[in-house]
Amino acid sequence: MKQQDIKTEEKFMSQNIWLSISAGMVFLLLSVYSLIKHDIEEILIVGMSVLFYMVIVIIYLIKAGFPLKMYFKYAYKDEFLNTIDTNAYKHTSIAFGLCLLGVFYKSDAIPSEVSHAAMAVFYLGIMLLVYGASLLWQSRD
Amino acid sequence: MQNHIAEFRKAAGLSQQELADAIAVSRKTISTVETSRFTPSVIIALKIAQRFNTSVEHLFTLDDGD
Repeated sequence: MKQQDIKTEEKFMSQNIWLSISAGMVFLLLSVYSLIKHDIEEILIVGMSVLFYMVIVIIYLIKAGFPLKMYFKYAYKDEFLNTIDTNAYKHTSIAFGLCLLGVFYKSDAIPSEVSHAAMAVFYLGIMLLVYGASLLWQSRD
Repeated sequence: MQNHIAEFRKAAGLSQQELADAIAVSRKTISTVETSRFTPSVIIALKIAQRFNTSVEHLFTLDDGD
């Protein structure tokens, strides 16, 4: 195992944590926002804000040399990073399962106007946030 | 399980990063092993022991609950 591979994995992990948390928060805000009625101006502001976030993320990914190819690797070579990544997936699965259970038992309380797309964005937000938060917590010194 | 890696490392005048580089693992691996939050594989344990010219038994000791 090369030390350069480890450095790349460490860099990917730290950037991925903040990317997951920020994307999760944006998704959650969007799903909550979609529950409230709005006029066209507010929707434009939110749309522009999301677009701004995406531009910032893309600039950051390019400038910081984000190792995108890591997304296509099944596992980390470093033992500790691989362990916390696996644990984070477990935490994400549990959180997703709890969300589904909550929706199953409280389905009557969810307004009929809430679309499947809004629910999908909500689930994605929860999963990304839990994944990022779990990695952040486990990788503390 | 307890370990004496931090003591061996400090005695050798190494930082966590230097030890991590020497055995090709991340610094977090060394940090979390030292604080007993992460139990390493036999391979990493042997590499650390080899780096300090000692045995794994000298580095790691079992607790009563293990």
